[in-house]
Amino acid sequence: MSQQESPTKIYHIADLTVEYYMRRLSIRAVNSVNLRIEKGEAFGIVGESGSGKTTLALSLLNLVPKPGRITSGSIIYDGNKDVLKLNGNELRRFRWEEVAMVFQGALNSFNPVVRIGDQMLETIDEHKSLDRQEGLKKISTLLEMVRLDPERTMRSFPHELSGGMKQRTMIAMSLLLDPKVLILDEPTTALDVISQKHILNILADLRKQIGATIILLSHDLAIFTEVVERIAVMYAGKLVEVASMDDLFLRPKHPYTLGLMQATPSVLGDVSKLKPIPGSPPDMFSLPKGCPFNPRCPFTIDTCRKVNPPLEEIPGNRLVACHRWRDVT
Amino acid sequence: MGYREAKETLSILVENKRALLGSLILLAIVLMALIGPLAIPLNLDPRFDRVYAPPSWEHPLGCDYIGLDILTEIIWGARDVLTIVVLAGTITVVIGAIVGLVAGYFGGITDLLLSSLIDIVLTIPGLPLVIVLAGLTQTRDPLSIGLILSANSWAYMGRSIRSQVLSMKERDFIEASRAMGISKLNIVFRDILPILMPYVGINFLFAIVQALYASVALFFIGVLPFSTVHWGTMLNIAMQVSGAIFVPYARHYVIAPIIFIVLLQVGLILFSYGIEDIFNPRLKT
Amino acid sequence: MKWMYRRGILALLSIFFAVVLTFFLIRLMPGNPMDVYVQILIRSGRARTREEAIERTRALMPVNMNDPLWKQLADYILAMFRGDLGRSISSFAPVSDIIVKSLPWTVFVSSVALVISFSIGTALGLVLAFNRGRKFEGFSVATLTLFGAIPNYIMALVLFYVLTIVYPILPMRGAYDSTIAPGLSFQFLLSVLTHAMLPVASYVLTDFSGWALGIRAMATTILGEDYVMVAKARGLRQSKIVTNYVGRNSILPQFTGLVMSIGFMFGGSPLVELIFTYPGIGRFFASAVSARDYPLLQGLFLMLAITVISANFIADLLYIQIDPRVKVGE
Repeated sequence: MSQQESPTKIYHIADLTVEYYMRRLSIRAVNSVNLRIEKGEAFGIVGESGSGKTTLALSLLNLVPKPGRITSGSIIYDGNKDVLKLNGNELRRFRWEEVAMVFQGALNSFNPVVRIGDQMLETIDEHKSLDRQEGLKKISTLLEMVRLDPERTMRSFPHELSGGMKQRTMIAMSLLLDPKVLILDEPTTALDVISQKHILNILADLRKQIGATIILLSHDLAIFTEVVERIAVMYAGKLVEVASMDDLFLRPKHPYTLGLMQATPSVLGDVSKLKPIPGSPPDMFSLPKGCPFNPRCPFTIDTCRKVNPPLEEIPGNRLVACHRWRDVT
Repeated sequence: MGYREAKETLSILVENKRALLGSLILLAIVLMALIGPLAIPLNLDPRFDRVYAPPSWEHPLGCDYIGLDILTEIIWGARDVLTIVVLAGTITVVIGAIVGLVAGYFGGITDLLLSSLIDIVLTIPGLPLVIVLAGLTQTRDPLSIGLILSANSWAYMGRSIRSQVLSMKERDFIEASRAMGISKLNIVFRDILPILMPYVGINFLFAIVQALYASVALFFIGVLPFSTVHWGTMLNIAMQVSGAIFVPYARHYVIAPIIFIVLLQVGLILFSYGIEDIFNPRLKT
Repeated sequence: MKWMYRRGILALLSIFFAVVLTFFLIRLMPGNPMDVYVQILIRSGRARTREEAIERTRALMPVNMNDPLWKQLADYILAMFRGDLGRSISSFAPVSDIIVKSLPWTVFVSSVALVISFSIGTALGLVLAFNRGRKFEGFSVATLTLFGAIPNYIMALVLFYVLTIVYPILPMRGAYDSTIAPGLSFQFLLSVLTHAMLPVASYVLTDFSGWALGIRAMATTILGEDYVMVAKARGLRQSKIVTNYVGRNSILPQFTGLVMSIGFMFGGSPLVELIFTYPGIGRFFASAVSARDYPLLQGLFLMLAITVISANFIADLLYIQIDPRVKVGE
């Protein structure tokens, strides 16, 4: 694993494990994840709620809340900084200046007793010393970019904005310090279709204008098609497949991914052909031995029940964690 | 409560360390109050050769200003203290619950009158009211004393119960009962009351805590001649009648009641955490 | 707005209720207290004739005992508006004088105590909330619970005992050293402070834990809120998060309690004042009850009720200003 760190990797995640400790039990929300994300890439992570994708994203900022703890691994940013080893002040500057995150359901992402404009200015003040005029200008520009009225929005309190408006405001807020990486966790969930479209358009524009790396998390496959180039699939805290969007949608090599594709309706497809994935979501407190997906997998063989398949590179510049990937169609 | 439920309740209580401690303290004091007087006779004859005797094997807490054993006084006093606070607590809860239920459920003019009454009583300062009532009526009867002590606290209970009833009134299962033609009174007692039990329980405990504070205060001021061994009266005698607090070697006379009063109070409050846990549905498996 | 009128009317009704209550309580007592006093005067020889005794007794209350009850009540209320609440049996001083002299002391001690216990409690509570799971948490919460469980007069007794008798550091009685002339001199002010210290401490030590535990619970909830995590993600300094994000949002609900406490502040505690012989309204209350000084008792209780009720009403009005969400709810 001691390769030369290629300068185009913005994130090199190695063997990351995050555990949550409760009373007498612990669960591995993220289990030995290895992942490399290219600079300027538009990367997607798909998984059900509870699959560990949010925890993974939080780790990228070393923001995993108690009772969670990162118990092993390293996260190398831009080839030289291990995010997990940054000290207090370094970490503080790293956050938002280098990497920003738009949280799931921005409904409660703002301080309820402070106006939006003040919170934006606050963010700028804590990092750089832009003078007030420049700061306000920047905020206005960004708010316009997300198609919001700058004046009105800045004067408002969070509870005066709708869900969609708050989501867009949060996106604007995330861009305040020109971060190199933007992480968005379920940016379109809980929004109406029109707002969803808006946001996806905004994201597409962003990539063109800023050239930042975008990491998109969702359980909804559909939104990836608009923005993303490469996708990783997570199940029960494990990365089970990583491939380009085309490869993933047209030639999935992991049974879970295959299941997802077959269960997702497309506008043109025949709804009667939808097949839900059998079985129930994994119980993180008692995962099965071997591959966590094996109880629900149509391709299971004996090895699957004993050995947890590692994430391996396969031809076509993709990764998969399955003993029987060759047989998956 | 079935056997299984009792076991469940007990295990919740044991889980919570604070509640466990509280329960033990309370249990000890209650036992002391119930059994103590049976085991140890109260001898009120002064023994002047033992005035302010320091703690010893024969007198574990020492003797008071007329030579009586302090431990005996505490034990006998426990009975008086507990009787009064339990009475007061019960009266508070009963009156408060009735007023709250009636006001909340029947609504309209009844509610308006009753809640205005509650608001008025709540704004009148509690302890002074109790002191005035006690001073003016000068009763010696525990029941009346309990009534006086509830003069203010029933209103808190009433208000709390009323808001619970109000929020429950609109719930579906009440509608269902109404639709089935069950009489209002029946609805109140068979449907609503059981759900209110947790609030009643916790309020009962707090009413007792309040009553303890007020009753000790009453007897400490010396406004009511009730019993010479009530811990509050002991403090009164220690502090004002005999001036024990000023006498260096007599301090154990002042300290003993203080310790037990605080112990009882702490026990009650710790136990209340347990009650909260018992009624917290999220803890039940 | 309508709401305010309702509260205002309720407040007035409460006051009226308190007046009537005190008035009738005394009348309903077995044996007309005034007759009792007449007897005392005659027997002790302080009045030579029955007429004189009756005259003197009458001077105590602005009311004629032989008038019909409703007239007595009306007279009493009228006298109240004139500021005449009768005279104390024990000292023969006008009750209104006694009230005017004693109320400020109670308010002084209570307000100082409230400010201190709220501040200390809030700071402590926030510290505890931020340090959940650390080793000292269980111990701190236990200690706080213990302090909260001690009745304030017990604390007063303990303080009195330890700090004026065992180690005579602080003064035992009074609001100030009687040998010093009242005025703005440094000695006088110092004396006032030292005399107020123990009463204030009695209140503070038993109250602060309530505030601390309350805000700890609130802050713990706030700490779990999304916007706190987002604030950290935005790279804000910890100090900023503590004050602007957690602090501000946790204190808001505490204000209800604070504002309500202002009302009860005026009552003080009769017992604490008794123990320290502090000349506040509570202490006169306690001694009036013991001495069966009915005019004084009546006047004091009335005054107490009126101030508490009015303060609560004002407090309600103030709270509306602080929390705009309440206004919206109307």
